[in-house]
Amino acid sequence: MSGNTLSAPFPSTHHRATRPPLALLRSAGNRLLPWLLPLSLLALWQLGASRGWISPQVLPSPHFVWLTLQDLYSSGDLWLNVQASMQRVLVGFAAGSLLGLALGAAMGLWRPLEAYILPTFNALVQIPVLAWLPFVLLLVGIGEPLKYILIAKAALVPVTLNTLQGFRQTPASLLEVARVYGYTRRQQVLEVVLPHALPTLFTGLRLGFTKAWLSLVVVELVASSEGLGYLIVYGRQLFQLDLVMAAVIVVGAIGYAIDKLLDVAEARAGGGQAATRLGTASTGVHA
Amino acid sequence: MTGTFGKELNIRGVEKRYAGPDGSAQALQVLQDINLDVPAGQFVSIVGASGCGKSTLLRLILGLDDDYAGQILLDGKPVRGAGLDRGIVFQDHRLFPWLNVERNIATALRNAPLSKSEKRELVAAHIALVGLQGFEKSYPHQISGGMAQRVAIARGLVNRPRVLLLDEPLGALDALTRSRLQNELQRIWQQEQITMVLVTHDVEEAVFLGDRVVVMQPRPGRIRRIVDVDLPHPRNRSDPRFIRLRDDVLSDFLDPDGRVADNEAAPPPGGLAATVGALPALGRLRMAW
Amino acid sequence: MTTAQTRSFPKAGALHAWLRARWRGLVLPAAAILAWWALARLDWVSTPLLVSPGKVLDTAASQISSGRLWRALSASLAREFTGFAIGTTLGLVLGALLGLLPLFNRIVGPSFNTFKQISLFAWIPLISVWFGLGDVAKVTFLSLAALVPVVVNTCDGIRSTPTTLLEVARVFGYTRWQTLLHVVLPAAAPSIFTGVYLALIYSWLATIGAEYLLVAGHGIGNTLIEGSEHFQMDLVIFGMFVIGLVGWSMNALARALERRLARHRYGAA
Repeated sequence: MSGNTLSAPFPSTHHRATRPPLALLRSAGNRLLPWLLPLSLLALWQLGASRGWISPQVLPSPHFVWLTLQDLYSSGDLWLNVQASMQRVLVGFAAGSLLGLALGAAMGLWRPLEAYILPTFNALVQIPVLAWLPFVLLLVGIGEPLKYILIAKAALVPVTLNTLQGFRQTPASLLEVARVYGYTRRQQVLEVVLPHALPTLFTGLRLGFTKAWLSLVVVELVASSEGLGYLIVYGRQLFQLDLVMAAVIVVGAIGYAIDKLLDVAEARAGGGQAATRLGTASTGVHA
Repeated sequence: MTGTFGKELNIRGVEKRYAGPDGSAQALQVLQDINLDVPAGQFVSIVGASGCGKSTLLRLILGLDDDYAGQILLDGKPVRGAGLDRGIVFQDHRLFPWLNVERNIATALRNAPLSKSEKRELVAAHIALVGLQGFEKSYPHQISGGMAQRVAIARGLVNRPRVLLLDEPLGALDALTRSRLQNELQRIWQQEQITMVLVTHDVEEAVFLGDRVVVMQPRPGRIRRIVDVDLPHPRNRSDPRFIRLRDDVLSDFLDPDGRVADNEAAPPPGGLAATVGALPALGRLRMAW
Repeated sequence: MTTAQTRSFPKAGALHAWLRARWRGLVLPAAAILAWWALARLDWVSTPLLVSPGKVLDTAASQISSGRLWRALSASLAREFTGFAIGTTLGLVLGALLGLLPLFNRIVGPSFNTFKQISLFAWIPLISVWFGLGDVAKVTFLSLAALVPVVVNTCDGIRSTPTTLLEVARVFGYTRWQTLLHVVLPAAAPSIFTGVYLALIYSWLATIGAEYLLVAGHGIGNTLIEGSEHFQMDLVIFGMFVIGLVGWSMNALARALERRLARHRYGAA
C-alpha cells in the first residue's frame, strides 16, 4: 500500500484474511460459476427434448444438434460453407478497409478534401448496409460481387471514420515540437502523425472486421446459395432446426474466435487499447 | 496503560500490517506503535514521505478500515466505522460532478437529523465561511481547482464534526493557490475551533498550520518525533522563529551530508524563502512526489 | 439597397451564411446528381435500371400523396418503438442486476457475453419458427436488438462508478439504497443514455432486416424489397433515401437530447 491518497484499491468487506484452504475452495467455485447457467440450460433442454415436452420441430434435442454438427463436419459440408463465408468476409473486408484507410488518411491529412467528401460520406453512412442491398442487387445481380460490395461497405465506414480521427487527433503540442526542429511536412506525417494514429487505426480495423462479419451473416441470410447464412436459411426452409442450430453455433464460435484473435492482435499492436469491459466492438446487430 | 481520556482524539498503540502477496509469507508493516493524543481544538500536522503510513492512519481514524491493532478513541469512545463526527477533505476534491456547489455541500447533510431550513442555513453559512458566495449554483467543472477544494472543505465542515481530517488537501494545487489556501485554512480553523488533523508532505505547510508537527518515517511507519510549534496565530512565514522550526523539522529528512535522503520529503518548490535562507549545503533536492 | 435587403429578408441572410460555410460539402452530391441526370438523358446506357432523377421524384411524389409511404413508414416505426421500449426496459433491469450484483454477474455475465457475440440476425430463422413471420416475431427480434446495447452500457456505467465517490458516500453514512440513488445512478447516467441511444439506432437497423426476412406484413423494408423484385430502381432509391433520412433524424434527435442533458451537468462530456 504505497498510495498517498485515501482510497484503497479494494474497499474491504472482509476483515480477516481467509485461510488458505478456504480461499482455494472459493476460487475454484468462482471459476465454475460462469458455467452454471449454460450447463443447466443445456441439461433442461436435453431433458425437455428427450421427455417429449418440446416437439423436435420446434426445438431438436442437443444430442441431435451435436450429431448434425458431426455430420456436417465429416461430410465436408461444413468446411465448404465455412470456406465460402470466410472468403467473402476476407475479400470484402480487405477491399473495404483498404479503401477506408486511403479515404480516411486523405481526409485526415488535407482539410479541404474532408470538407468536400465528409458530408456526403456521412449522409451515405446513414443508409445501413441492408438498405443498400436491393440497390446493389439490381445493379450487380445476386452473385459474389453483391456480397463483396456489401461487406466492403460495412467495413468501410468504421475504418474511414477511425482513420480520419486518428490522423486528426495528433496533439498540437507534438506537432509544434516537430516544427521547432524543422521537420518537413512529409517527415511530420511519417514520424509524428502516423505513429500517433496507429492505435486508433487499429481500433477502426478491428471494428470494421467485426461489422464485416456481422454483415456477412445477414447478407447470406437474405441472398446466397452457400455459406453459413445459407445453411441457416436452408435448414429453416426444410424445417431441419437441428441444421439451423448447428449453423448458428458455428457462426457464434467463429465470431468468438475472431474476436479473441483481434483482442490478442490489438493488445500486441495497440498496447493498452484493448477493451476489457462488456462493451467491446461486437454487440450482435449491425448491417 | 493509564490514559487521560476525555481529550478529543486518542490513538493508542495502533499497528497495522498487510499480508504479503503470497499468503502470510512477507507481511508488510504499515504502522507501528502509533501513539498520539490530540486535545480538542488543536491543529496537528502529520508530515512524512510516501510510504510512511500517514494516509493509512487517517483512514483508520476515519473508520474506513478497522483491521488494525490498538485503539482509536474519539472523546473516550472507540471509533467504529465511518461517522458524521469525523469529517474528511481528500486530495482530489471528490465533488459529485452532477451537482452544483450548494448541492455538493448538502450531500454531507443527507443523513443529518436536521430540518430542511436548518440544512439550508448551514450550507449557506459554510459557503460564506470558505468565501465562495456567488458560486452556489456553479458546477465543479466551472470552478478552479482551488475553489473546488474550498467546496470540499466546506463539505467536510458542514456537519460540525468533532475532528476534521485533511489528506494532503492542497497537494494537487499550484504553488500560489496552495499558499492562499493555507492562509484560508488557518483562518477557518481559528474561526471554527474544530480539531484538525492534516497530513502533508510539505514541511513548511505542516509547520505553518500546526500547533504540533508529528514527523513520521517509513518502513515501518512510525512516529519519529513530535515537535511543538509555539508560535502565535496567525503565523508569519518570515518570522525567524518560524524559519528555524521549519528547518529543524526539515533536517529530519536530510541525511548527514545535507543532501536529501533517498525517497524522503523535500522542501516545497514554491518555497524560495526556504532555499535562500536555508542550509547552505543543500545539494540536489529531489521531490517526494 | 443591400442593407434594406438584409433587413427585410433576415432568413435569407442566415441561409447565405450557412451556404458560405458549407458549400464545399454540397459540391460532390450536386456533381453526382448532375452526372446522373445527364447519363439518364443521354441514352448512352440503355437499361431500365437507369432511371432519371426526375423519375425518382415522381415516384416519391406518388408514394407520398397516395399515402403508401406513410402507411409503410408508420408500420415500421410502430414496430420499432414497441421493440425499443420493451428491449430498453428489460435491458435496464438486466443491466442493473449485472452491474450491482457481483454474484449475478459471475453467473449470467459470461453467458450473456457469448450470446451477444452471435450476430443477432442469425436468430431470425429460429424466431420465425417459434413466432411466425408477422409482427410478434418482428417485435421480439427488435426487442433483442435494443436489449443488448442497453444491458452492456448500463452494466458498464454502474460498474465504473468511481470508487472515490463511493467512499465519499460511505463517509457520509449513506445507506446502500441512498448510495445507489444518489451516487451510482447519476454517475452511470451518461453511459445509460449512450446505451439507450444505441438501442434506438440498432432497433431501427434491425427493423429493416426483420422486414426482409420475416416477410409477412408491410413496412418500409418491404417497400424496398418490392421495388427490387419488380426492377423498380426509382422505388428502391426513394426507399433508401427515406430510410437514411429516418436514421439521420434519430441520430440528430439523440445527439440534441444528449447535449441538453449533459450540458449543464458535466461540461466537457
